[in-house]
Amino acid sequence: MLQINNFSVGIKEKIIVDSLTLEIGDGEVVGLVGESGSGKSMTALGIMGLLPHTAEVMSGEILLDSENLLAKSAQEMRNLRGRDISMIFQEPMTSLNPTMKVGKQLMEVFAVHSDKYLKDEAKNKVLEVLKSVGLNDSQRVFDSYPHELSGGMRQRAMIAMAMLLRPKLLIADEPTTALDVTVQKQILDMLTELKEREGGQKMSILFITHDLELARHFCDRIAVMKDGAIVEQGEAARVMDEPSHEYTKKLIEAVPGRRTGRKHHADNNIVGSSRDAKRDKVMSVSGLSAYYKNKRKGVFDRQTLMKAVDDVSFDVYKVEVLGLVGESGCGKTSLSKALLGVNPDVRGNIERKSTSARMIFQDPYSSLNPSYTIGWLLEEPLRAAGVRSAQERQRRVNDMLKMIDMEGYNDRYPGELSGGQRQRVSIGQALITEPELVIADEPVSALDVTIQAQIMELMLKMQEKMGLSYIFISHDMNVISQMCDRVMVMKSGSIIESGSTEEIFAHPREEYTKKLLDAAWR
Amino acid sequence: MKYFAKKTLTLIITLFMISIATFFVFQIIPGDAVANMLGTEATPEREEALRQQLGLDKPIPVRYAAWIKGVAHGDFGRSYRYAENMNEMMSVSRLIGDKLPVTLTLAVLSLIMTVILGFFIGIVWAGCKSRTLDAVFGIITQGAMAVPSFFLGILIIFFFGIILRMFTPGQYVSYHDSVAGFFGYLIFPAFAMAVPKSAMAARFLRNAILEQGGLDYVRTAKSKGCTDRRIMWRHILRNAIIPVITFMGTVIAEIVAGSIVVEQVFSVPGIGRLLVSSISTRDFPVVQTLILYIAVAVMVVYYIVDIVYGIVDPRMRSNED
Repeated sequence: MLQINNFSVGIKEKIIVDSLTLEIGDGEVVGLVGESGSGKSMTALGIMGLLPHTAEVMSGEILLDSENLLAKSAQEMRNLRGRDISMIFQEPMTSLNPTMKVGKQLMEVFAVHSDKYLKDEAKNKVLEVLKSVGLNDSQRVFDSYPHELSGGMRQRAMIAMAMLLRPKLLIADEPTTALDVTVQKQILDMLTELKEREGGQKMSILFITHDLELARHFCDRIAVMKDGAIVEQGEAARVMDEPSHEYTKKLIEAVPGRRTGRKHHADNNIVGSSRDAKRDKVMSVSGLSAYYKNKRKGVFDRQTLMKAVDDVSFDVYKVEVLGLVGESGCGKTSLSKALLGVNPDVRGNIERKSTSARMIFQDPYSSLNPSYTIGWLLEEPLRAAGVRSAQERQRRVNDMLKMIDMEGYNDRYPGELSGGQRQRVSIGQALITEPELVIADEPVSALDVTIQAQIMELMLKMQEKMGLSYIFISHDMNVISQMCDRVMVMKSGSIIESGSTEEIFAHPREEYTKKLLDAAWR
Repeated sequence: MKYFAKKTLTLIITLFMISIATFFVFQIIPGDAVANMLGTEATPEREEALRQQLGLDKPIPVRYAAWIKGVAHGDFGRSYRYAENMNEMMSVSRLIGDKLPVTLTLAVLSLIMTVILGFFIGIVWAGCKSRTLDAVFGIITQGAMAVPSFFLGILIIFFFGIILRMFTPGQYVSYHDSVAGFFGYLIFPAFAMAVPKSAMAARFLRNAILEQGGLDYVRTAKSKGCTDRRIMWRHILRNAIIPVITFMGTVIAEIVAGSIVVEQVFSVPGIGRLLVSSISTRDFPVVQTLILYIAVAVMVVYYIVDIVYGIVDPRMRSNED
């Protein structure tokens, strides 16, 4: 149905897609897998005819039912888009026009693609498709602005938009990456179902992802992409179980959660059965509740408080990694803020030994000030901590750079570093004052799998060197299983289950925990 | 709906605060109106008598109450300086009544010009693909922004008035005589005020359009098969207007205040000259009224901006609810 031959794209001398050849059959789901920057998205945009102005098609052809898309005029491509080929994008939060009602945005597909259409008929069709993507309250969604819907609902609306005219080919570019795991699964199940339900001609899907497990679960065939070229392709199960290319093997190895529990401390008696009362506590939390202020309804209304964390108690021991899992909105971040002492509206007791906790954030792109050098950024916590001597500060900065494998980067700016390198700097920044406890809020969620593995390794290495403890917040059960000694599962502000990583993964007690584990597909 | 009700309530409260502030500031600032009026003929007895006559001997809150009661009925007091006849001072409303419509017309005219020029240039600029043209637009708007209105006014008088003879400089036409002539004259000072503001508005709009053009929802619209024109008018513009609306709010306030200078350059008998002379002679009833007028005008404009904001951007409405 779709046949890409020898397709190359370049941006300013640099080759982004390198003689790519790929075939998608009728009703087939093909996964395009690779790390960010491998050219996956450019390939998709190339098929859509939506490459950025700076990009140039250097060679090849893209045949849709044996018609070359690259030879078509802008007008012909416009007619094709949304009708024969549709696309779903990664960012459900920003992919819809914020000032237009969702229904109107869907109706626009009809306005663009048919000369005359009956408004009522089109509306009925839109409502029907909205229902078919699981938005049962379709009338309300129709009349809502995007910001009134959740991320999952918006992504469903996007899918409905793409499905409206029953395209032959659906390109899904990381459609679930920005969503919670449980929602992820629902959306993919729904896509599979929609694909099957379309009678007559089956819809084909090009599924772009960086998540190998996801691709295996969802795709018929997988193509692995690296530096613009496909290095390996074949049956999904074959590629995953018997990868022939070195890079594929590396990718699969880097996927977290292939092992249960941490091997690092497996034979170390710090962890395991030694969790007795005698062990040193770094932090002890009892009966902690945290609140945030509700928006006042009127000028004269009384300020009301919402409980974000509800009566939570736990201890953090020396040299351990305590995992905190839950979906977004469950109170993870509120809890970490309360532990750091940033949130003043707290009830309960937090006992800490000496130094305060430090934090590592999720987004390495925005959490470092871009106008200072790496050396300066690392030095700042020392200055704040009152280390007077400039020589002493310099020495410690250089030591830290060595430890995070970034020696000689003193005078670079964050903008010149990759995401993984920036996250190393964030870690260095948190650890340079030698805290006993570090709270890491989704520190690897924004990173590629291979980088994820490196960062987690670095965090464990630093733990051994400095004897510190982590509270590791994540929504990803696989990352948790690889990093943590103990896990706490959080739901609606409460900790509903906790125990050693092995226990939780082998015998989850709560339904919710089972659901989280199930959604991780391992 | 709640959003709009809330904004209206805020407007009323703010207007009340402004009236208090305007009144009390003039009780505090140094300079005695009575001494000023009597000049060399001042004696303690005469001063006392005049004070009583003007009601200045009463406590401040009482005077405020009397003043605000008058304002509510359209009575702004009497000027300390301009006389109606031998026995009576001129009422402020009569004094201003002639001049206020002139200044208001001038402000509205220049606002309309700013919007039309700014939007036209901004949209054309954002759409132009040639680099040279882009640079030309950049230089022109940069230049236009830098020129102060009064200097531009002089250039306009020279070019349109003296060379092209499209109007006679200094020959203001009252709307009592000829409405067409009135507008024909005011259009030039309005243009002088509109040029720098519209250059700024054009820049704002152009940057906003380019920024919006790179956002994800535009890509979505493209993937639906929308034409470029449709994407511009249905999707981008409505979002790009949002920052421009905020900017226009401040522009309108500046136009109201800026008309004072431009009126002088074009010899337009607006409130500008009256305000300046009344301040220097401590003609407080006049100054109070003019300040109140400017403050109210600016507040009402901000109110309108807020309302338009709420209409254009649905997120604003639900944030406030």
